[in-house]
Amino acid sequence: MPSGQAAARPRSTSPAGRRPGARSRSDRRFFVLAALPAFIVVFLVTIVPLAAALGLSFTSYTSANPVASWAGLRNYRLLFSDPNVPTVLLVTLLFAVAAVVLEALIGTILALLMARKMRGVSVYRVLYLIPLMVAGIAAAVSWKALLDTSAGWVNSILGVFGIPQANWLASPTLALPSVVIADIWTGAPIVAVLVLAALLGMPEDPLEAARIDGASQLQVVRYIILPAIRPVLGFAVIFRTVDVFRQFGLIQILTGGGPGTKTTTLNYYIYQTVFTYGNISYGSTLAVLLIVAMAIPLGVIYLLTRRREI
Amino acid sequence: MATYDAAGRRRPRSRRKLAASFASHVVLLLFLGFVLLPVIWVVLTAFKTPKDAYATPPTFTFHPTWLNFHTLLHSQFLADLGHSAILMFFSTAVALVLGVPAGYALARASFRGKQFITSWLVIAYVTPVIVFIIPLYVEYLKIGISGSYLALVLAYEIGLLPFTIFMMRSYFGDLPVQLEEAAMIDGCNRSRAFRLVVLPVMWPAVVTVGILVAIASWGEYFVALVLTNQNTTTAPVAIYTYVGIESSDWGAMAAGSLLVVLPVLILAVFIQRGLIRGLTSGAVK
Amino acid sequence: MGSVRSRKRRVVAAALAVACLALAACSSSSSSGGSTSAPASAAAAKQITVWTASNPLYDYQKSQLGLFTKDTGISVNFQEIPEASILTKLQAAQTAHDSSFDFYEVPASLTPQYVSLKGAAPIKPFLNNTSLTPSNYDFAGLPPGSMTQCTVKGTLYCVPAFGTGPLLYYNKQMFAQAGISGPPQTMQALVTDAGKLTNSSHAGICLRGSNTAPNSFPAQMMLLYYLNYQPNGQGIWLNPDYTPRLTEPAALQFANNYSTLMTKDAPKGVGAYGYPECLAAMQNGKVAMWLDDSAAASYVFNSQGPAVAHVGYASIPCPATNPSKCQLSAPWGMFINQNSDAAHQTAAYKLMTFLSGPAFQQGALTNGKIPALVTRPSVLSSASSVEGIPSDLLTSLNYIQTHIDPNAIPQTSVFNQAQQPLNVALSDIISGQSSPDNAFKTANSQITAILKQSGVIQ
Repeated sequence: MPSGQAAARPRSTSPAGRRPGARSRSDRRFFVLAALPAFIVVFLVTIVPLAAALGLSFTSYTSANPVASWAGLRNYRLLFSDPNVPTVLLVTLLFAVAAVVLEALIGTILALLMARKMRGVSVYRVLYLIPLMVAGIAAAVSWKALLDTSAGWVNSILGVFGIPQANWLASPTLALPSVVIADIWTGAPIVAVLVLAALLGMPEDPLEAARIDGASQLQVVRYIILPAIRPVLGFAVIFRTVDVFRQFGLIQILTGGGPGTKTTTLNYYIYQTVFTYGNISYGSTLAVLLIVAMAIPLGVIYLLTRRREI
Repeated sequence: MATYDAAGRRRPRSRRKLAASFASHVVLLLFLGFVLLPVIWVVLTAFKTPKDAYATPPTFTFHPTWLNFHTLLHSQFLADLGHSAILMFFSTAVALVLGVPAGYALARASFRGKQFITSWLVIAYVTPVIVFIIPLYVEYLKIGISGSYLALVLAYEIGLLPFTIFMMRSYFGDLPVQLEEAAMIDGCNRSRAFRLVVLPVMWPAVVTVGILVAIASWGEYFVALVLTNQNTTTAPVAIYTYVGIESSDWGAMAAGSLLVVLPVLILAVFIQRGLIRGLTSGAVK
Repeated sequence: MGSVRSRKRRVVAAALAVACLALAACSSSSSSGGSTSAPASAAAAKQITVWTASNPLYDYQKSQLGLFTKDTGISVNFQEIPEASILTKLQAAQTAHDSSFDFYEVPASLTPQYVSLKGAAPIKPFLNNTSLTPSNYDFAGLPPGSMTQCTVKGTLYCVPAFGTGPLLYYNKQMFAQAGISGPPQTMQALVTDAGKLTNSSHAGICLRGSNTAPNSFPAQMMLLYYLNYQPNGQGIWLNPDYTPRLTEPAALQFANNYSTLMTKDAPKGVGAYGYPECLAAMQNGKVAMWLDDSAAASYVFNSQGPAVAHVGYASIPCPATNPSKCQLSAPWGMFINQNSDAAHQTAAYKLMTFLSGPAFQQGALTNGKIPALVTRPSVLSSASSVEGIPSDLLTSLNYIQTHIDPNAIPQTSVFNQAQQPLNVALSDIISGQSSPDNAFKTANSQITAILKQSGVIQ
């Protein structure tokens, strides 16, 4: 295989138009047959719930009054008068930016280090998988115990270095950072694993060539490795963004959205609205808001990390 | 890797390499400490009596006990682990069998409706499961599959399939098209080229995605909580029954978490070996 | 070439279909029938399914089911669901009119919701049927106050599963060391004592302060002692016209006392505390007293963890302004699923009479040592001393059951939502994000807005 292919390559959809006719027709049939079954499964499972959610957002359906009577845009107007919505959007934004940026950064650094050929590196590759395997709720409960102000290990460990006991989960300034830390615990290793797979799959010739040409390690990373892993990193970032937007168990167990509403993200607010307050129609409206809100960062990330066309 | 241009530059360079290795180990070990912190907590707590588990300040010297495992083995927990394993197997199989070809198609093909398919998959993926869960429950009850493995696998695929598809699309997108072109010039059609040329090369990526999908379904809580019945209850749901509002049995919870992690960890050690072998066997290079 | 490919494709499709069928078959035995049109006969089904939370109280219920099966021939499939999530699962099931369970236990305050989802069967038709009700059941012996939350528009839909009310757990030794002779007799004294009891080695008081716990329950317990009682009010802090009362001087007085307790006299980090953390603080001698639900008493004296040393139990007597109805009680109720068929409902009713009957409660007290499961004052007072159960605990539990505020939790449909601003205000007070006065004023106006929006008030 020719070297240097990893950095940028033409995005071609058919084998260069050679020998059209029968081949491209069978090609198209193959592609449709490959894509359709997966799509049909997802479509069939989601069509009803999605339609129901969208439909209910125009009604006044609640658990206390389970009648889907038409409410027009009332729930959507409520989005603007509900004092919780701006707060919750801000918390979501802070949480998502902090968690995703740190996870991408840490994950990439870890992957670059784990891709090095050195003794014992496979030990890290296995141990870093642990956070992915621990069921989310068990991890959340552990973090809650670890971050306990008086009985938690974190404060005990920090105490050894003379750092005073911090009030991790209950203070308005530290609650959100605590949730971010617990999210990084799973998020950074996921990014690391995804990027590592891309790094290990990279052809080595360009790297070797660059080194022989006297490129510094930083230059190699900047000009050869980063462009090569950009699509995968972009995907990892999108994947984490979606996950962070949907994060729910961690917040429920660690802080319950508190103190006050300092850690109430939009998704947790939807959960409260639907399941604690039984306001299903307004919860559906909030879900529409969540999808719209998610489209913005996802679009930006997609545009930033998309493969440059040549 | 051991190619050096000039003998004179070899020694300082290898010393620098040694220093770089050392620095890498330091960084990796530091983060490993962070990663292992909850793990060590879980391991120790699993062997603690409730008395030790709730001690303030935390105690590190205690008489280990099998009490928590005893509690678990006398409950439904082993059966629940089995349910989790069945679910993991089927949901991963469906995600890979359907998702990998679909990812390939989306990476390579342009056909009418591709935009629609992609958009739908995106919306299905990003919509919070909280919105899905009540309508799904109603639907499943109507068609008579409520509480079944089929119902759960289908619900899991809402998230797993789009993940697999987009993930694979991204990996296939990295693959030079010349690979299939060469095969197709040699007389393969697209389907054979995919199976005989593309898939073997992409095997590490498929395994990676498979691991992530399997792990995601293994640890899933919310969907399993609402949609399972006692014949399909999963291990994470069982673990959470030990975490109450009024009293929590941390020991049993931790022991359960340990039993959930161990089999996957052992599996991961083997998969990791295979994965590295696959990657270094020269398929990609 | 093409035929080979399509054959292979067919094989794959067939394999997939088989896999799907296998999946469906594996579990088809478990999916429910859902026949709701069974004849209204008195014959009870042979097996019923119970959905309840995973919790030591229900573990005890489970342990006694053998007796029930022996008495009635009905076997019980007792399913314990994670306590923090059972309501989520149940709401989905009720919305879908699921009939795969016949009997369930959830907070009685949610009765209106389950009634409107058509998932709770009225109890009275069964009670009135003498052939179904054991002669020694003594329905009248259950405290009427605890039944109010099970009642919607005059119809009874549940029976309390356990007794709850404000109970003070205190460390006698720490009280003696601080020169305090006995438990506080008023809320004002509680605040003063908490200050005296706080020193460098332990905190004065623990009140769960986490949003998830939820923090508002102990706070509302206290609030009922502060606000002037309104017999025709819509709950502790709602006027007869549903306007909130959180800006009244008495409420602000409470807010300031609560702020003192939580920011000065409580353990650091109390804002993330639930039951287990407060209990652990008592066990480890890190706090001198703990005000919480009496249902937690079993964990204190029957604790699996370290024994709580020198523990005493006390009810704080009702204030003179409200001498007989000051105990906020929010029990869980036992419900019969309206979607089950008549035979299963009948069997579920039999289980309900078993679990709330005098014999079961007597056993829970003397054998199970779980006094929280006892709601009948006759059982609590008949046993002035039960081996293994402190007598001050029994006295306090009896005081609670005979002083329940029958109107504690508003039965409005938007109550749950209206509570959210109060939770947030309390949390803001604990974490010092706003002054007690401001927090309560903000909460008051937000609650007003919510109630206006839903048309409860003009």
